[in-house]
Amino acid sequence: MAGMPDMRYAELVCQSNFSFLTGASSPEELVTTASFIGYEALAITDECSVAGVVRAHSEIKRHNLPVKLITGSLFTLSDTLTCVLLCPTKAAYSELCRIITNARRRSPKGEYQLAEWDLKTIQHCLIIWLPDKDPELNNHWAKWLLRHHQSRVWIGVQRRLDGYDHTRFAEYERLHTDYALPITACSHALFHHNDRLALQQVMHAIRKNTTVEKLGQSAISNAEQSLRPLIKLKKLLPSKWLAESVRIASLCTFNLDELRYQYPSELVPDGYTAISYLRECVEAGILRRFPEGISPAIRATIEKELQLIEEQQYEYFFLTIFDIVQFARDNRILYQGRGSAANSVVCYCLEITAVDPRQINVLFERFISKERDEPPDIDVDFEHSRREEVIQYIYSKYGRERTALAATVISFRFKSAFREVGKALGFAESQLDYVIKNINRRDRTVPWQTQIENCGLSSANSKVKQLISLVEQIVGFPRHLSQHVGGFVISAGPLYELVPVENAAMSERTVIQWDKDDLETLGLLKVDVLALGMLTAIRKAFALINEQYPQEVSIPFITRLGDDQQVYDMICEADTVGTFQIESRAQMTMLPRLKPRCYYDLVVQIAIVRPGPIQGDMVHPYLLRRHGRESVSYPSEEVKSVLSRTMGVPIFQEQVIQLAMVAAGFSGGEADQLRRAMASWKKDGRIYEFRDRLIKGMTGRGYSESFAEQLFEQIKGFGGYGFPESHSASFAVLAYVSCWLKHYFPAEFYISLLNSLPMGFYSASQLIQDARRHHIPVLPVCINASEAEHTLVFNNGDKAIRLGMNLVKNLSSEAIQTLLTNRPSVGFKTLDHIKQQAVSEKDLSALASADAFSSIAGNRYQARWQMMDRHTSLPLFSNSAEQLPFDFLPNDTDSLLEDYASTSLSLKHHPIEVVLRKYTIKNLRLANQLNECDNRSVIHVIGCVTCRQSPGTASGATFFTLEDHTGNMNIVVWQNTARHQQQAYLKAQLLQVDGILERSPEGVIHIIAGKLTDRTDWLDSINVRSRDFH
Amino acid sequence: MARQRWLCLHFFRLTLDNAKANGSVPDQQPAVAYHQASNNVLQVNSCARKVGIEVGMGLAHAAALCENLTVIDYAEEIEHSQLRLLAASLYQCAAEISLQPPCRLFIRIDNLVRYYGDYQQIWLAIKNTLHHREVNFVFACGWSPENAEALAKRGQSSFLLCDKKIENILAALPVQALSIADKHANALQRAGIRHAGELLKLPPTELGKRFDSELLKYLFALRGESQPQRLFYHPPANFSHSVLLTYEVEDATRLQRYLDQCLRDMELFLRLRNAGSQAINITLYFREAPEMPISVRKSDVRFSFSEWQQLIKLKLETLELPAPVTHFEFSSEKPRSYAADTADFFNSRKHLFARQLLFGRLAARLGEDAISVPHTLQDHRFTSGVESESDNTQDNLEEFTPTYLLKHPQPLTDSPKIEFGPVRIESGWWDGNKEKRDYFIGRNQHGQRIQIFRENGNWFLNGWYA
Repeated sequence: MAGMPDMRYAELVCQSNFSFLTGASSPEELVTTASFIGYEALAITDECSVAGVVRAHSEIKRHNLPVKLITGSLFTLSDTLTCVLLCPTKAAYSELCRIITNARRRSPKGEYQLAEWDLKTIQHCLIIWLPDKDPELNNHWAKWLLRHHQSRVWIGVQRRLDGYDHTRFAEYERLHTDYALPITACSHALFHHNDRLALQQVMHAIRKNTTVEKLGQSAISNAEQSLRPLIKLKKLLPSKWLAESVRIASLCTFNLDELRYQYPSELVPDGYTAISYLRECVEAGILRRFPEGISPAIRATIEKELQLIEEQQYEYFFLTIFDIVQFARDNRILYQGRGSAANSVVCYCLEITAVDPRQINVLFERFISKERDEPPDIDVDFEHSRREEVIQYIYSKYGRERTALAATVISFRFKSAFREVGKALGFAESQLDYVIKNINRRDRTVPWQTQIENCGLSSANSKVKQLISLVEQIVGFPRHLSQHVGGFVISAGPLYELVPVENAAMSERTVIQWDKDDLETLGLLKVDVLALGMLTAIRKAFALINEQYPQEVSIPFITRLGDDQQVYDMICEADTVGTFQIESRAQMTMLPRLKPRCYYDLVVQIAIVRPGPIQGDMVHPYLLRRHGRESVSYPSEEVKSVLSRTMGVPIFQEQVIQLAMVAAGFSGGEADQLRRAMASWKKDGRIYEFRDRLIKGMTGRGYSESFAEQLFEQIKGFGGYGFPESHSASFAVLAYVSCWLKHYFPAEFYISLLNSLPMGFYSASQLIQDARRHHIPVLPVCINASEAEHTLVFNNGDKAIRLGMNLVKNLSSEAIQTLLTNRPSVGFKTLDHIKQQAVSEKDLSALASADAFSSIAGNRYQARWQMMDRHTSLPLFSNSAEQLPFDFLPNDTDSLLEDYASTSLSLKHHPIEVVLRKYTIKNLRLANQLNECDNRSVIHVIGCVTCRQSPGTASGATFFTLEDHTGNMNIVVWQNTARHQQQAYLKAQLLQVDGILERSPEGVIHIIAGKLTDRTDWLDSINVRSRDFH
Repeated sequence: MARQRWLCLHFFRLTLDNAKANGSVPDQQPAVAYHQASNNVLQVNSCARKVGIEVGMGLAHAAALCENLTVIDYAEEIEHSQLRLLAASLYQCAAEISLQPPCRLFIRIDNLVRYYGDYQQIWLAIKNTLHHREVNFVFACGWSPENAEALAKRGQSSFLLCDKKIENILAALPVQALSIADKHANALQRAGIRHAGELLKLPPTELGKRFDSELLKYLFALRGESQPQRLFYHPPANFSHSVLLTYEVEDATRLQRYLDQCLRDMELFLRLRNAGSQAINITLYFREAPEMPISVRKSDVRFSFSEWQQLIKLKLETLELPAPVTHFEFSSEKPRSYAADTADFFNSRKHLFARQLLFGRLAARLGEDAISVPHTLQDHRFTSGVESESDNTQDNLEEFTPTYLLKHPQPLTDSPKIEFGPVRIESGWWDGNKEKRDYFIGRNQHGQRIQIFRENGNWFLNGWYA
């Protein structure tokens, strides 16, 4: 619908769903509608926030919408003044950011507190005042506004048809007459279309923690606070007021594209330009990295990269990261860079990454792509236990004014949406909880809307229908802002002039109001300072090894040794529990099939077991070609240039984007949009906009439609899990290093992993079982032998693992410190001696549970009995206590249960072993007997469920890992099997599976589940815990 | 000294038994007593047990197992009140009764032998009394209430008199089944002491070093070596009882069957005392309305079930309930002289009941439709009478609210002059009364100010302004 010729309007007050639980439409919906119904301009004015404006801005740019976006924000000052600040210029924008920052920083996360002073200091922003109904209050504010901001204030007139219009209009007219304040029309829109009224009321009820019914008259009474058609506005409001809105809009010339990022200048010493300093750093790095000199080819690449960096003005970005990693290196914090730009030779020279270009020179071309117009991407992973030091360094170097974390928008997911909307509609919480618990979100064929029928919510009921519809609407709506895991924005001047900053939930952390997509839209760079557990583990392993040997082991040392075939043999056997990236069930079943033999194979291996290649059906063709069972062919030379390194099969995210460019004719800008759409398609489905373009482009260039379709599927597969080669390359280095450590220094490797938990895929119990399968003795926690951490000890000349006291649940670190400090060199002799240390009863009890006193006080029962004696801790009795015999002995089951309760693992028994002493299963096979079974034979197994995975790629199958005392088993549960045995499928901790054994040609064994039986009660029944009967 | 003998009676299904007795749960219908605060099913009848419902389940779980499940709210005080009634009945057989609310009681029986002759006679008397009450229970005998209670907790009834057998059963009881603090039970279990036998074998001096004196006292009582002091049941001066209704009752006459049960109990109570009552007070409680006291009086003292039943029936027939009844309290007044207080009914009672009665009289004289009650609007709809918990009413809108609202809007027949409006109301989608209307104030040909509205292009008259 075009605008009426004599009728123009700009909506100056409009809250999107970034005014959390108030606005009921997204910024994208608002600008699209505003443009469709012919508004001149739309101001997105979320409450004390500009979190939604970038999305609106990006939507306008993406679709060339003929509507002007005005940045603004709505504020309420101590419940007496409501006004909207609009930004006519960049200076006004900075002012707004400063005001929002001030108001937000005064309050806890999610709240704000505006001060009169904030408003007084306004010099650039335009003010739309939304007067109250109280004349006295209005007089006060009218005078105040005129005194401070004459010529920048308008009365925002609203016609809401709510029965108060006459009161309001009389007041507007009075204020206009008495104070000569100009008037402009506005709707104070909360949604783009009147059909969102119900959603708005539900959100209102959620905000008030009540039901819609009980909101009563505080709910809005009709849908007039929406973007109303011009023709309606014309009927409702005088045209001069409507025209005034357009005049105000015309004053607002600020566009978000004007924002330019200024890097901190102190990184460049006096006498240098940014590029000259970067060049000098790179040259110094060359001497370190290539002591024997560099080849002309590498020199040429470096030059090419530096030139590109200069052209794109990315020098500061590289220098910032260089500065951070230098700090880490000086403080011996292990780190590893990754990302497209990280795999440049420049980054190798700056020691941002350890990926040696001589090993994978093929990667260099894919450094920052000018054509693709992507911002450079460097993420740096640091040891997870020491990342905080890096963050504190950044804060101290740049100051809190200039540094903040990027935001992450936390959205309503199904569960939260269902619970909150349900509550607002008056459903009982217990009923909602029940439904949520019994919905199988992994079931992709039966949608939740149907599943809730089985939980007693019939869709014939109108209330249930409303619930379904409202949940569907609200899913994906932003709920609050949280902090990004490690994306820092650092600027030259105060950050609050660029974007508002608010408090994060974590104390001493501040976040900006934009997330990473918003930053990307505006071309602002963030530095990702991430945490990686494996780096901690590797550093700890290096420390243990370097204590023993003169040759210092480090990542460069290991990579310089080249591909070690013994390590790859281990990898090919999928003996990779605990290693980096290639340790998951899916990776482990792929290893014997792909058979990696060199570094680049690992790069592929890490990337191939991902949704992208699997959904694009690229795995099998790649395996066939790799093993020479299918010929490698390319539809064209351009495609060959993109795909040759992966045998003609697109595996990496970069490859599909490059294919879109070379095969479907996407421009650089389009390709970048495609990449961003890939990242967010699960949220907004924007990727489908590219489908026709891709398929037409490819078929037009002579590619088969099926190839194009497949490529699109793969693009979808990358959605949300985007996995580029540049990341895989960095991960492969760590994967290899971890495998090398596991192969050559297994004891040190396991100890380091155990000391770095929680991390990775496996629990302490699983790691220890793996260690014991590798013949490494594991010694229990002992009051006289254990340290806080797990330690390397020599047991009869063999390296062994002594479990540390940190493993014991409910044992405080203070108690550990006290005990270790006061422990005599010969150890404690009696329990009484320990009781006299300043250690609480709770701590002692925790140690007794872990059987840590067995060396001095007998079994754990005897230890506890002794400890319970209050008299012996009194000095008078301490020597007199001749204990009466106490001969209660824990049996195996007791020990097992206590071991698990106190340390989550048992060195003596496995639950399955204990269960099988009491129960028998006919023809049962243990994990280590599976190799002897015939392919496709019927088989019965039992195990503890250690992992349940339902990858989106597996067409509804769920993968269980069952563990018995001899090893792990992979179970595949098809959707129908799961659906018919839902209780066992969802809840069993101890599971019996009757199914068919399937062995692949490479020897990978899966059990296809037929019948699932929940045997968790067996575990309970061996526990003689009694029940209360009534 | 000979050991005492105590009988423990554990009424494990008291709420359900009561519901069954007053007919709110049919025989073959699965039913559970449900405790809302903990979301736990606390009692299960045998039909419910058959479909797999167990004590301790959440309601949603239980409901999922059985689609026609009857759910009765569990309330501890109501169960306690039931227990007192049982004690009152048993008081006919035994004097030393000790209550352990909400659902256990102990009866000392060794000193009854001289009245009854032997233990079997005592047991028969108690059993018969309980048989009339139609309650489910387990029982056990022991040397002390503590001992009998521990044995009864096994869930199996036994009227054992042999010390050796009692000892054996006691020894095999898990520590958790004893009435000791959870922390003690846990501590014992964690030292490998799982059964009462193991615990009782430990020397008291060793236990004394580790536990408080409460535990030791309990263990002595468990062995029958000491008898902690107890309060014995004494019948109250007048009869009172609380009843939690299985379903909310909207029609007053449906209260009859619950009241009948109370009247029978009262009859027994009064008859035993050779007394009568002149008045019965009933307080009705509603989910969303203030409680309503009702008093039924007779001119002279009466105890008989049938007489009171007659009167109450008449009362219920005329009684209008402001909201569904959730539970009620029933009590008899003490016997009084015939010189009854004949003061004017309204003099001393200015509560809701009086108002209700006035309305009742007016309605009877003028007809139902002639009476209307002023009502404040609670949401935007002018037709709504939704109650609101929050203080959300806005004063100004009252100007626009007609003094007299039509129950059902009528199509507008004349063409009034619009004086004010529109006020657009889009509301009620959540309760099935969705409306989207433009309201106006108009003035009709008679000069009356009226509220009219337009819906789907049609005009309606909604009310008049005073």
